[in-house]
Amino acid sequence: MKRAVPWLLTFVAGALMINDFFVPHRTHAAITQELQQWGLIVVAFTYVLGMANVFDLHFKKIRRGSSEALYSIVLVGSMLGMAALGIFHDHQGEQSPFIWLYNTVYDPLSATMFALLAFFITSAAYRAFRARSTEAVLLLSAAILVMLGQVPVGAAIWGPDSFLGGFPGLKDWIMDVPNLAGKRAILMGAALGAISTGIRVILGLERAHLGGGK
Amino acid sequence: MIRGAAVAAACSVLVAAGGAAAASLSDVTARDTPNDGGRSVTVTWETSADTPADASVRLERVDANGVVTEVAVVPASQAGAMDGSSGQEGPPDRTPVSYQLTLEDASGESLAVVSTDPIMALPQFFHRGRLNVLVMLGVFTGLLFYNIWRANQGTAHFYIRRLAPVDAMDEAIGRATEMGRPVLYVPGIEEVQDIQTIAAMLILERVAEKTANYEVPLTVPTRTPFVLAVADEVVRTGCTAAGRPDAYRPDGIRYISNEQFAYCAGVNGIILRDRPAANFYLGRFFAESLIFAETGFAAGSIQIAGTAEVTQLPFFIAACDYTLIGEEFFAASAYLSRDPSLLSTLRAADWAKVILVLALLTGAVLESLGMSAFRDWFSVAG
Repeated sequence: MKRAVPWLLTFVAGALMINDFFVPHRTHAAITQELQQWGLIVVAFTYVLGMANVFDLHFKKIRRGSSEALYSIVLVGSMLGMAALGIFHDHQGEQSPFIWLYNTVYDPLSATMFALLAFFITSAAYRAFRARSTEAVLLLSAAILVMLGQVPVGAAIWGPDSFLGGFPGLKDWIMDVPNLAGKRAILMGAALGAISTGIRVILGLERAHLGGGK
Repeated sequence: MIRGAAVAAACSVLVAAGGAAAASLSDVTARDTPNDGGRSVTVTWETSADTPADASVRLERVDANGVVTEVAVVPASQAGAMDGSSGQEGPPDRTPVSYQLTLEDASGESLAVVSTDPIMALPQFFHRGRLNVLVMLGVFTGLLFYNIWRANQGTAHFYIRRLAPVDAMDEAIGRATEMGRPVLYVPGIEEVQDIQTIAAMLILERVAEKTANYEVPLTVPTRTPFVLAVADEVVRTGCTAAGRPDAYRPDGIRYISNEQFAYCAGVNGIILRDRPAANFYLGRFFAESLIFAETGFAAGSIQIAGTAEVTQLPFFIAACDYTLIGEEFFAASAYLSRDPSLLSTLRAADWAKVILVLALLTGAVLESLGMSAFRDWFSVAG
């Protein structure tokens, strides 16, 4: 019973959502939209769980006085501070403290994390392009050709009016033929895998997410 | 005369008005909008060659009591308009209405007026433009059921090729045991309804079972609280399945932040502070994939990734020790469980792939011969 009811709910919700693609009738659409609304409401409630998890974890660290306690104090303080500003202050407009803090503290920090990607790409590319095997040599050669085809200096060395369209022509061929074929093959395999996983879950063959033990 | 929902109503009145004397509307049809939820009628028309370029058509609905409701004013060159589109209230279902079209010039002067026969809007129970998807889904589901039935009979043997990344999971957890360090499991950054997150949760149960067996701490940072709740239950299930419910540590399942790069910073912090011996990145990832993988590499962790996100696969392949590519990721939970009924679904997917390859070859040949009907059958109506 502990697993049968959740499975039955999964089956009914899953079947309704699949039907939604094939049944345009307004009544059916209204039912599935209602279900999605329920989903949104449940998601909203889970944020209470998320907050509780964060507080529980970091208060424990602060109480223990561990070496990470300072980070936890900053995190909990920032969270409560932003929540208080959002609740008790007007948070409309650029000049509100809430938006000001978001724009001047969170946004630059977020952009900084994203910017790290440039350095990580360089270090990962260095390792990936070391020509230690036939596959790595192929990868390196393709990468060099694509890079040369992408930048103006490549076209200046071997332009698009030359034999085979020069570096830009070779780049286009690599991207549009072997690269696209590989990508599509992965996508088709992944789509079948996703459908197969979905059906396994809907039929109850996979039940790990339902919990409650075997 | 009401001629049924899908039949065009013929134009009944044509009144030539002033202005450009010969400008007119012809072939005016009103029909129930196909493959919709009801309350919608589509009206189409043709304009004569001498219709001014800036002319417009005023479309009005006339109900059985003669009440006229303006529906839209559209450029005459548009040659069609829908009553009941995009949130606009259309005609009631199963109630006859007719339409009056007035061709107007730029100054609003009427050039011609045309009315249609009565027509009824009807909701459809099946989207006929998606029959091909239903057929393909039916074939695939049929293959699945057939293989599941064979598995349940216990007569079929399902071969599954070796998946090195999945085999390496044992090795990675063993390494964590020897080093006395935790295992980090990142289930992607999508919500729980995403199929890749669901697949990640299915693999998480097996990983939790193994970490519980080896008494290795497991850390699962999540980006959404819904995934937190599911991951918590899945890890608890895995520990119970291992016969070690005491191995379940609720502190290991953490909600970090809903913001992508705040989550990214949080996970990087865990990697650099806890120095996990093994990192699993399984699920849907975006820009943070390489940031995680490179940080894990710098921390000296053995790293196993899996995703069906084509744009992130090269990053994982470059920076991780093992990567589950596309369908391998979805097959991993079946591979780990060795349950025949789960393995049978992999064979069904393989058969479906054979059918797809045959369809691709057939399509390529027919298209080369100038026959496009086969290709057209695969297009899906929006």
